[in-house]
Amino acid sequence: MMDQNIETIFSIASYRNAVYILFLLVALMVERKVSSIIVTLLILTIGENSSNVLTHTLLELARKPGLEYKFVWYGSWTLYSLISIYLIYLLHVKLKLRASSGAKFLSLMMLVFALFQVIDFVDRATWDTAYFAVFYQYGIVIGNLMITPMLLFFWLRDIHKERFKKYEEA
Amino acid sequence: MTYLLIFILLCLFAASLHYSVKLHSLSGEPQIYAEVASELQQRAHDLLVRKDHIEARTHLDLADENERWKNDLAQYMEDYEQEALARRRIHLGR
Repeated sequence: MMDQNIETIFSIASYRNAVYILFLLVALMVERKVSSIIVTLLILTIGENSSNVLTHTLLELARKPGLEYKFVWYGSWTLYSLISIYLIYLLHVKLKLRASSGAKFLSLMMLVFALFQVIDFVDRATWDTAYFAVFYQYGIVIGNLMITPMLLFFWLRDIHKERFKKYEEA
Repeated sequence: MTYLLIFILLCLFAASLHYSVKLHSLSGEPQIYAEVASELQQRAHDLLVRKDHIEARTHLDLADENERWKNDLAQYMEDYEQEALARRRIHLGR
């Protein structure tokens, strides 16, 4: 049951990766310049790829008994969120970009994921109630599924706003 | 040991919170405008400081220095006005 779940998550992850890359290419073709949404998608795609590579190793480590191994799993994901948010922030600063609502949304999602990791680790390390485990298991998967449609929505809304402003000026 | 691990994890979370708040603060005004505003502020400050210096040295040739100061002030006001016009066009759309 558990393994089947994990296999489903992996197959979702590979589709997700393809969708992210496609989204990035489409955004690049439409925007034709480095904008906030491009930076966001770039970091998202790179992060997704590296996390796909790391997941198997981390999962094997996490299956071993002992809190340190559990910490490696939770710590890596929290670090992954931190690095993603930091890189998005850094690129916005260096390229002097204005943060779009898509970038803000992604950083918020990453923050929520990091919070999930922290809460579940604290739960496992101290009381081991496993109340939060269900939220953890499904919350992150559902959250990841939400990212693409929401980013698409924010991106299209921004494009629409831009067009609207141009017409108003003319 | 357990508390140390929890502490490290909380530190990581705090850092991500910090950067995410910073990223959110970049969404308001375009960064380039913020930089221009900061530069204008600095120039205004320099002009005021120079005026103070001129007023402090009463015995030297005031007229020449004062004339130069006025020219700089005029230039500053011109820049400020151009900047304000550009902002009004972009932010208010008129």
